[in-house]
Amino acid sequence: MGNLFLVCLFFSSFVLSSYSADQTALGIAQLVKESNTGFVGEQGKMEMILKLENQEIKRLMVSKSLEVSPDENRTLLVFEIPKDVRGTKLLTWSFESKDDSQWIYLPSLRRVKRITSSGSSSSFMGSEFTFEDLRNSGIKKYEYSNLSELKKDNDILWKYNRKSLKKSGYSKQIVTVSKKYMNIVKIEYFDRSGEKLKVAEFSNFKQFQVKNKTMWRAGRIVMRNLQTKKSSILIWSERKIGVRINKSVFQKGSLK
Amino acid sequence: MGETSNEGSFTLETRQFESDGDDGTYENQRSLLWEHKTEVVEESNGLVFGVKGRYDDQDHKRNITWPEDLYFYQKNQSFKFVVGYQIFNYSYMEAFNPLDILNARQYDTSILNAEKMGELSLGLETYVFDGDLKLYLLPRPAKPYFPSSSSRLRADLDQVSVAWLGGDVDSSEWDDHFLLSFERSFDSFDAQFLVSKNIDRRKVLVGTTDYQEISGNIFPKADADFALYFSEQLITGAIVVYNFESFQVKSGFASHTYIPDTEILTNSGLTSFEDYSELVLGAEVPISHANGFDSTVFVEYQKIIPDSVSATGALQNDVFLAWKLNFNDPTGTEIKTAMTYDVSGNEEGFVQADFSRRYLSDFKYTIGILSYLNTESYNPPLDDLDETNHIYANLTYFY
Repeated sequence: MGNLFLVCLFFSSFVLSSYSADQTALGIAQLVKESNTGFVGEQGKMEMILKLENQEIKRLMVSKSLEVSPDENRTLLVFEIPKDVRGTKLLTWSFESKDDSQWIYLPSLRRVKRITSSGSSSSFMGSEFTFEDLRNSGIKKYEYSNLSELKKDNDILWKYNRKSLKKSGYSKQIVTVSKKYMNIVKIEYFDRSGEKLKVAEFSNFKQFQVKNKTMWRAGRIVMRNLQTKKSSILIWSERKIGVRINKSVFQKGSLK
Repeated sequence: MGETSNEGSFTLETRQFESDGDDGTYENQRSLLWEHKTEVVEESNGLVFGVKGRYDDQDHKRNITWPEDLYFYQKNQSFKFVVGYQIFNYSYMEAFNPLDILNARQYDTSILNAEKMGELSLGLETYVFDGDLKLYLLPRPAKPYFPSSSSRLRADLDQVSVAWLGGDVDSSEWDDHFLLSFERSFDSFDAQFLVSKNIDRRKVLVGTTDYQEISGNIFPKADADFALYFSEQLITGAIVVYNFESFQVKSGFASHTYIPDTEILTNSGLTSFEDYSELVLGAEVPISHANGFDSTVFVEYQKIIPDSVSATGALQNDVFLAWKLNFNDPTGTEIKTAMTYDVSGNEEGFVQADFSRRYLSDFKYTIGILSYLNTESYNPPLDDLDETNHIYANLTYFY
């Protein structure tokens, strides 16, 4: 899901033309993945709003992403607010099939720490998002089932189940993909005991042009925790796609 | 003018020690710690201005300001050139970091978390062989700061200066100290290699080089100056951090070769800095709790080889155990407990616990306790840390 948050999801007329009615859930995931290739680089600002019972708390981050290859993306998040963690950086190397690598730079300690896979189910900045949510959803990391199709307004939605092949904080996820945007528009998360835990809804899609491709990006993601009734909202601004960013920015050694 | 950013903080620090019955020391210490950082970034160069200072209205010897990061850099696609004061960090573990030796420290807080002071440096960094290669010249090693005799964390060193063995810091000539490091990440592990010639500011001998032999016995001369001696060294070492699915393992080593062989007359007789090696092993196990909390258990071990060298530092053959509980709430609430214990038989160590929480988005408070165990068995100057158990409370405003 991470790439769906942090990397572009775009519509490709070529890809769509290859779609046929008997696609499998894996096939849909592959189409979405193929639609993601070719964004070159991306940067923008992210505002995260934590909605609690009586208050709203804001987080601000700067995001940069680099497409190293069709099977490898790198993402750097730099925190600006809250001020006590300003300068904290989260670097993620996302791979299509092998495990992702993630490091966090803690300015108060001036130290870069590698994050373990099992720590990925931890809350991200006290929000309803977890580190796992921000990691790559490479299609080979899941097994797929239960593809269904429904029409909604002028769009066709594909819905399927996916289950992580690696250790995960979730027992399964139900994913809804929009044919119009060729993007995930909704993910329902189920906890390890099988109870529905969270729902992420993607909206405010915006169109971008990179070379000859038209791309769509969700400008807003709402993550609602159904058990705690808390929610967190991610909103993008000043987003640029197709930008060239030096690879050295995404090195562990550059975090310090 | 490029993009400019300013940030910093003011921290009200208080700490209450148990009474030592000495009117010349302060049981309750209050201070204001401030830090500021301005960064000007242009496309290919930048300027970082970061300074830190402490003000104590009682113990004026604590009133100092020091550079942290104060440097200019210029970079292109291949290289980054840096000149100025910098804080280097080669720490990968919570307690034992054999490669993290490049900066002078302020021993006014915990031994484990002594504040670093910026080091004058001139360096070149490049990305090569899929890793980060850094070469720095370190021409002016900064001297460490020790609290005065009025501090409960004193080392009774008011009349004692800091002196280097080797090097040439007191003359106008530049030292030929350097740092060469290479860091690379692989699929499941990170590796760091380091070679450096510098002053080892973690090992100290208290004594004098101004002595004479009378009838086969060694005595200091009548006008001998006693000092805290730190020695020039060549250090080589490496650290590897390996990620398993549900935990992390860290291991490292460092070999210290002292360049001068000057003998110092100490309370224990004539002695000199003895070459030694450090071996560290550690594990970090994250645990997710059903209530949404996360905790991490840290276990670390450090072995000094040979055993005879252990006495020259605070940390010897020690085990470190720590537990950190993160509430995962919007206020960033965290509880940390840690214990370091010498397993070579001296029963030395310390215990620390603290609680921290963000308040009103711009404030953060921390309360805690730090207790030293059996410090009388430390060698000078750390033996004076006895009876320095204290509680502390800090309130920080971030801007």
